[in-house]
Amino acid sequence: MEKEQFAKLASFNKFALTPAENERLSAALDTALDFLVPLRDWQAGDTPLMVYAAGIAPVYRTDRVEKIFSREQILANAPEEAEHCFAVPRVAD
Amino acid sequence: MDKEKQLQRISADRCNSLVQFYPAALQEMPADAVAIVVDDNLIQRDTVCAAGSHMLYSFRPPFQAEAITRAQAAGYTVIGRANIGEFNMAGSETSWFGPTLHPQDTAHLTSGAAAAVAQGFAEAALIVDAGGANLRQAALGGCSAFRPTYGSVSRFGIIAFLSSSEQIGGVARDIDTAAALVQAVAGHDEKDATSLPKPQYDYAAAADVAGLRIALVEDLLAAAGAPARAATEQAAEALAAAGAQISRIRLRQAALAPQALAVMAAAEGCNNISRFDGVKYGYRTANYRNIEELYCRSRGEAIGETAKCLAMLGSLVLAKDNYEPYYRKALQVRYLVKQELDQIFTSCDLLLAPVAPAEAPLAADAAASPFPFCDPAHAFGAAATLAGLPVAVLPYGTAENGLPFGLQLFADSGHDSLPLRAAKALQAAPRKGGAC
Amino acid sequence: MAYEVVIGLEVHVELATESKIFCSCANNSAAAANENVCPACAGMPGLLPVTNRAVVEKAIAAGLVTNCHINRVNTFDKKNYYYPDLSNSYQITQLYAPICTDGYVEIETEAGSKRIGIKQIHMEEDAGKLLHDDLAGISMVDYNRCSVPLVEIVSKPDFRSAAEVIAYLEKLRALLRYAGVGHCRMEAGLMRADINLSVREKGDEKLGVRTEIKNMNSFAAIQKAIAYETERHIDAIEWDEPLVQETRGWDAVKNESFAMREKENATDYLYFPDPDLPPVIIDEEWIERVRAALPEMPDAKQARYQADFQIKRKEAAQLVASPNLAAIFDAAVAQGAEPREAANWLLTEALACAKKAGQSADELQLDPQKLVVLLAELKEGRLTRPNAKLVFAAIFEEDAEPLAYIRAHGLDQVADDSAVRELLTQIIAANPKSVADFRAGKTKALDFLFGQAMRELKGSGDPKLIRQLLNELLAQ
Repeated sequence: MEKEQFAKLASFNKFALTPAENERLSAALDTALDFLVPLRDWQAGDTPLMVYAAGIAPVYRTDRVEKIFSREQILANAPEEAEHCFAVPRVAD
Repeated sequence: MDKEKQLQRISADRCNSLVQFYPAALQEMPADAVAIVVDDNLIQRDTVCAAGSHMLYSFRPPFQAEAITRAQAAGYTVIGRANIGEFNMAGSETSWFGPTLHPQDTAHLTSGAAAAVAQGFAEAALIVDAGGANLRQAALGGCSAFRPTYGSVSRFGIIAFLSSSEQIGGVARDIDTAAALVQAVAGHDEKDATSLPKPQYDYAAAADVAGLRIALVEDLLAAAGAPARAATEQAAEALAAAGAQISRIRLRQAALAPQALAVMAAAEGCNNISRFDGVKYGYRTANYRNIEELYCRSRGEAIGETAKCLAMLGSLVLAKDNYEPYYRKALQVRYLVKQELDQIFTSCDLLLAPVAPAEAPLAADAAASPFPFCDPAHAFGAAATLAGLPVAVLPYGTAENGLPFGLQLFADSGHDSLPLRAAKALQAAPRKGGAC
Repeated sequence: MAYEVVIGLEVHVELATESKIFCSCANNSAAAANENVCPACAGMPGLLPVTNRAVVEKAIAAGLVTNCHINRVNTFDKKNYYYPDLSNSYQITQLYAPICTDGYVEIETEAGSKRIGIKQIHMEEDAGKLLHDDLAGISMVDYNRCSVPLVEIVSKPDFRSAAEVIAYLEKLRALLRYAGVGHCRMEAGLMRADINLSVREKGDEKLGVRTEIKNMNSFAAIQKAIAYETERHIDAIEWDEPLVQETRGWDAVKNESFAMREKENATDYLYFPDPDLPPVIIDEEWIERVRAALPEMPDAKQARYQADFQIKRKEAAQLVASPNLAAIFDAAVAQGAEPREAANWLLTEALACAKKAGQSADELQLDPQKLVVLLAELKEGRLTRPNAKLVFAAIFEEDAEPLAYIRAHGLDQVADDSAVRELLTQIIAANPKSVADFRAGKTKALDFLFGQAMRELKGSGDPKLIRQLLNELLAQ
């Protein structure tokens, strides 16, 4: 896999990788892509897609408010908190 | 059960079955309650649920998986959480908590649920089966397991990986106990829009296979090693002796099922773990100066390599130019696989195949595997997973090293009692000969 | 060189539902930070989305009032990117099969009516909000707005001027408010527009380089932004400088656009169908139910006011501009009020009272029945106009009962002519000097006598009648 493409994949997934990881993951992805070649080369024609499992039918919720969780519960796991919000470094506009 | 003895046994576990054991739950359990363990990716209220990942090492959610709530209501007590691969994407060798060793031979690996149940730490386990891998590990770990038709059990409270096809199942030393646990938790849940409308299920099935048309899947037989193949053939003979009609079929469309499954697993896996960003809960790197570093270092430090590999593959197959040749085609293969199985089930009730090419993998082999989904074992669960079919597995036959082989039986959607009947019949029937 | 600006709009409208699109949190981003948040919209794992039926209905309504085709089967997709205000690192939206396609909105321009095409309308969820604390060097994430339901209305690039854009936004806002789709208060961020703009030589068919300015929520800013950006494009073309296809921000202080990040087609959002959400399937019955529940739309209403009640176009337009005001008007007329009187009172007194109370036309409350009673008193001559204004204020501020109020404050019009005559006769007798002055030609003397009479009658006399009687009596 080309370094540039690899870097894009790592960047999209927000992974900071060590050089050793770079090498191993690059090789692993190459293996994966080789594995997928038969699929990539298969002529699909206009075969329909199966997006949803069988038996799935439309389901809706009633438009009603139910407050089950306090904001303390929501913020309980926050690594950093400020003024009842999740705190992160100042993000550029 | 002598609770003290049990406590000691579990605490002395050398297999690393349980990520966390709740001794108080065991001690306070009522006499008629049934002890179970649950996979680490099933959310329990106000308890750490890590899904085998450093990323979630501190995550205590304020809510609970529907299946656990129903199990508790039905008299099951959760006494521990069972080890799984990180995010359930691969075997326990990828767990941040370390691999789970096979109780029969610690050079081999198994799942936390299988090891806990096989060693008698709990009567049963609630697992999440993704891609057939968890069922496979259960059988190869010496346990029986049952995964119902997709949509039978609510997915509310599963730390999701393969949303389109993962399903809760039950593991136990016998198939009845596994099925009973699934029955207690199955049924419609309005919190899960993919939950089938049926409110209740009945998995009590007799061990009766008279007249059942059972077909051996030749492709999977051929892909298995000779000993595992022989064990499956023996099972077919036992079923014939009990009155079943045995035939053989080939799954032509399923040739690309492993690839299709790998693509869907990559795409959905990438998406389902993207919420783990160090902002709201879980691991956050100690060293960051801006949001980009917060993201990249937190995820870089706390997510393992296999999960990263799958996620990166996911972002590759969903990229604009790759969507059609990979992801769209995967959904088309899924359609063809389902269509073929629908056709097969018009003239056949059950399919029988080995659950894996051989016995449980060696730790050394598992660690060396770069990309889990191209492992030959994954092909064995692919078709039934893509089609959302009900599957029963059980150990059957023994390898030279004493570890069990496993069988799988699967039927058409909604015909969940059929695999159970055959599994029970095989459990009850005397085994011809010794090790294969 | 004559240039033409080509503009397309993407308008995001927050839907007026009680709860969010996929969870049962309250749809109210104005609450205290993270009060209306559950594990699902806070990005925890383990939760599953379930579609709010009212969101689908409001999207259907939006499609109906904009003449769109409603797609009977539509689906949800995941759009993936990392940003702290996006709690799941993906947004659920509709890319492959949106709920509505191919509609239009008619606007009035100087050159007459024009149809602005609508490419599609789709349902999606909003993201949270970031508050910045520069002193502490942090951003604070509030997920109240995360998962609030939106429809995104994507126009075709049919606009050729800022005036057309504003006319469209005003029309769209009116349609959506009448249809109950959203409150569309732009200042509150309930309706936001992304402007896609390019410039080409007049007559050229090819489109120029496109830039986008996102999240505009004021008409004034939109006009300035379009003017600025058009000129910036023209300058670049004339000076042969490169124009980058990009997303730009708008600096409302400097009144300039500034470079931000590359436009959408440079970023890959890795869209794929959401396996947790079944398709939305809409049948004819559902569409008809939504259509039947739609109220009279503003254009039809305005035309009816002009034709049936002879209300002038400007006043009719003012009335329909607020669904609330129009509803009060309709109710008052239905209960017997004279339409032009009712319109006049609503557009003058009611709006004035509302303004004093710091309320908009949409917020003001007035019992139409009470207005009807008041206008009847006025019409029958039992109340003077000045006194009627007093009563109106009381109805507005305290929801007073008009008849009771009139009696309590002695505002009854003295209708009996003879009592007034007697009073005037007494006043004339008591003021011989004024009478003499008047007869001598000093008309101011009449005013003095008039004032006396009004004071005696405590303002409840009909001025016209009093003057008329005074003249009559003095002529004798």
